[in-house]
Amino acid sequence: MATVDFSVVADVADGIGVVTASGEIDVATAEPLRQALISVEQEGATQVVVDLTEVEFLDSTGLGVLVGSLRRLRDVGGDMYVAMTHPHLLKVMRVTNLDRVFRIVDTADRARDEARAAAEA
Amino acid sequence: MTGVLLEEGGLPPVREVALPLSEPANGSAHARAFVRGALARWQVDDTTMNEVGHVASELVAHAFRAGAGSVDLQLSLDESFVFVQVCSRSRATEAPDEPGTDPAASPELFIVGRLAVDWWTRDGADGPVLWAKVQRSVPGDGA
Repeated sequence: MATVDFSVVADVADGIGVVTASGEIDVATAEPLRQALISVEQEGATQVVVDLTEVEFLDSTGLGVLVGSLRRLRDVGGDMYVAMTHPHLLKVMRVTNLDRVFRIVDTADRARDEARAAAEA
Repeated sequence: MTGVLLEEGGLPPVREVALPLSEPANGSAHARAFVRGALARWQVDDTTMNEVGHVASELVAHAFRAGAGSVDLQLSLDESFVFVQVCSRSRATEAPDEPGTDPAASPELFIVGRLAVDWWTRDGADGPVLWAKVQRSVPGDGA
């Protein structure tokens, strides 16, 4: 039986929210991701790093979760920094034009640097 | 993997397979695993495998969200394309949250429209019938 391999961890340090996911994000696993994003938002983080470098699949439900969080963050002057490297995920972002909406970088460290710089600006 | 793998056609090669799915919660994951297995056996490249798996996953998710209680996922292959069809086989006992197949209202079909070179959906007796055609990638095209 196929089960969805997925895990997510959320943390806030120095005002920067960091949500790290791994595995596959689909209709069955998007809700824990949404809850993780909400948890860092509720802790007051407005600059949020989403590390998807270990994510191998991201469907429309997961994209909707990311877009929802991004809207909430930008409503309060914040932003989201998405680290992803999987070629298919990058293609999905490109064909949906979401690569023009999200700040996408290739490492979690770079995403943290950008979030930190924005928080200090 | 749930269900029975149905293979048609002569051997070798098998170029058409189908899988019944009846668990909405894990239907998309089953669909992706099924696609990976079938396309690996057909020696289809990883880029095409990812795209077909994504299309199948979205179509199955859409069918269940539109009210299907069970679906059949069918894959077939020719030299240039992989074809994906999802046929609803029964109605869910509970009303769907968002019935219908309007692509403008469906994030699943929006993604399918971006990844597939052609696709359509029509109403069937037990829910939507969805079909998509995915271009097989050419090595070195950077897709």
